[in-house]
Amino acid sequence: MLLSFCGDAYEERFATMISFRGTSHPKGLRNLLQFDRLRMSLDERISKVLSKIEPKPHMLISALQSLQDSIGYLPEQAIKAAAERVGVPVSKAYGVATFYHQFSLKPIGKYLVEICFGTACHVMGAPDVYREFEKVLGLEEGEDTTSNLKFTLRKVRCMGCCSLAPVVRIHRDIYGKVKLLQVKDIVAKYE
Amino acid sequence: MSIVAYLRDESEGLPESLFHGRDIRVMVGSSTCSLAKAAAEVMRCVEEALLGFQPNALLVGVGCNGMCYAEVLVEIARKGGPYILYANVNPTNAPLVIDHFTTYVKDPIGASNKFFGKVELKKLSEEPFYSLQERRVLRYVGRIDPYSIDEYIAVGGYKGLKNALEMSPSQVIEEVSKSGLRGRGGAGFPTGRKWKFVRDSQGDQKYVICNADEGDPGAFMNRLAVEGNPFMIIEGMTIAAYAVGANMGYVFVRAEKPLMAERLGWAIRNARERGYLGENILDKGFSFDIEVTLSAGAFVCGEETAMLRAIEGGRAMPRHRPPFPSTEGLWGKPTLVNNVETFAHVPLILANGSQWYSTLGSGMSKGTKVFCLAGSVMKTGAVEVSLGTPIKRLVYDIGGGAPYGTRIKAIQVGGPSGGCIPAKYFDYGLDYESLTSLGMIMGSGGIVCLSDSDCMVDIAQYFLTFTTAESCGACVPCRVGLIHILNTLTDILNGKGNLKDIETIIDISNVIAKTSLCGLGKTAPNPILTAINYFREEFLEHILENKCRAKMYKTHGFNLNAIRRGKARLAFRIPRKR
Repeated sequence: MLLSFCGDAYEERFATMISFRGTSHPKGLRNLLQFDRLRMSLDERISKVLSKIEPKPHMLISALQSLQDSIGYLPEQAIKAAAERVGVPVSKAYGVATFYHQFSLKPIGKYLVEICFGTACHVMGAPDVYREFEKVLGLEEGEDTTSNLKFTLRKVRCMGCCSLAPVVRIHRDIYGKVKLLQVKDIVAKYE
Repeated sequence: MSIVAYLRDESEGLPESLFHGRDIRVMVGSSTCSLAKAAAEVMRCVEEALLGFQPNALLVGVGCNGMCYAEVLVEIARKGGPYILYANVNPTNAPLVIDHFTTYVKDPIGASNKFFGKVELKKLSEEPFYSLQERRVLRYVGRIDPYSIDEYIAVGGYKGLKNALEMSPSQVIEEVSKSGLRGRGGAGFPTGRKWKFVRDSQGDQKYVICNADEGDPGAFMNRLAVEGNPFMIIEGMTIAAYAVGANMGYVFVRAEKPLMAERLGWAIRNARERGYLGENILDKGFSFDIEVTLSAGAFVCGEETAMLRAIEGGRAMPRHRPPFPSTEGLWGKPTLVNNVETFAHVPLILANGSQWYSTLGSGMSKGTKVFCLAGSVMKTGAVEVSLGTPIKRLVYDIGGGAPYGTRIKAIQVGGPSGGCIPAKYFDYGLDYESLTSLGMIMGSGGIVCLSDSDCMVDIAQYFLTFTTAESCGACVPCRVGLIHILNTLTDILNGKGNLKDIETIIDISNVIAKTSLCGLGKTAPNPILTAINYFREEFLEHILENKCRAKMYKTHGFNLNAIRRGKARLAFRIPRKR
């Protein structure tokens, strides 16, 4: 094969690369994940995720990250379980969960729409893009998740694609130089 | 945009081992910025086209070489030349690139006739964006496979580590000190001296930490370097660990940049398998290992003591220094914390000698630095120039100046801890001393160009919003003071300000800068102080006349149709392109 010199390594990384753009997550895979989510109860999922975490206090952030990856947000029982697993007080785990931007204590939509608010994006019109997304997704002032739990809109700090400002990331796909007129089409891809 | 083909000089050839026994090597950019422009699809299209034209070619995904404005970049090399870098490739015109190269190899003149109007052939050495750079760290970024340690070794990698292991640790520190390398994370502390502190600290266990929590908005040089050549950083860390006597290292990566973490993790595994990490490195009896830690997203993690807390699994709140991390760091042990770019320079110093390293740079600032150009400038991307390069050279010659019809009135250097430099100071060089004399720090080196349609009060408010949200809340000046400034600024922006406000802001800023606990608070007033210092008239206009010249420029300056119909007046003369 043409691309064979790296062996299996290549398959693995090519798969990651592809998953960064539109064609990612073929429907089948997505359904499978959904199925997996439906089949397992929350407690089972929490214990399954935590069983892979080393029970040491410094693993707290990794534990919370893995839990959020699996569940989508951090429910109360997940924080408690994580604290118990790594051996820190629940208050500390709650403190950590509320300190970092990555963690969400509320359920978030299936697709996370992240609008970059770095300097370059701000200068090139990120606030307008944000308002346009709000309009297209039909979000009220102060809301960030659509009522059907499909999209969550979020402002993030710089993603490091400043040369392509303004930048939007939806579920690992990155869109550069987003124009207001494109917003509708971008959202339609995920409807 | 049509494809531009840049012909590389013979001297920029690639070693034969990179061809892995094939004739043609095709390199497609695949870092985050390329992927945002459909690089994965380009790669697939190129692969299909190759099957038709060059079945014996090798296809490699590489990092971005810094020319982000011309993404997606595809470079095609034939053993012994030519080496052609194609810019502005997209999935539709990708097959054209392969066709052009095949034709060019057989008949250069015929190719330019056949592809007239489709592919424009230029020499890369005549492209100022590339030729005015001094590429050291970025030299092979965008040309080698970030997943393959063999390719890194083939272009001279791990020579530095081999040299270092021949020397004694104190000789390594001596060499780094002599080179004049200073921390590239912002403050510019001499690297050699920091290493010596850690070396001299007592402790059975020492740590080396690479700060890859690149949080400054507008800066992406660390992402570019790691995504293009992660082994460079690993080698630098290994040398540092040998010099200071550490045997465990952590790379603290920002969660917003997942590809960076993935490639680093891969590279660490690869290096471990090949004996460049782990037990008994290169049979010299020295052991060192690295782990990747993902940040959970907090700007304050860029501060070293806050980062240590985050690695320990707590809230990232800075603590008082001293004791510095070099004596009491991670879990109370002596810890060396350096930025990604600082580590990237170390292998070069050890491989080529401190003498070679200090040939570039100015005064007390030796070597090169990667700056990121973004905002209102023609060519956005990352450029590596020697320290002390005049700002105008970077903005106008390399960056190509402002887009047509606008004018660059200032640049913003160093994100929320830096400041704004107005166009009249563009003769100043970009080095630690000059920037300090202008009242700011270099920060990580992100440069955002601001045009006439950007309001300085709005920019100042933007940074204040940022630092207010990111303040960890540990100390009062930063937590309370910043909110007061932000409220005052918002009043001014909404036309409710009064003249006393400016003095109030300056007063509070000075207190915050003097009394805050960590670097975030100490430097947070810089953007607002420099804005008031250099653009006071814009603040006064907002306060006295409730008028924003940037807004006028935005609504009237560009709306030529309205002007033609007599509905709007040109706010300002459209400046000619410089």
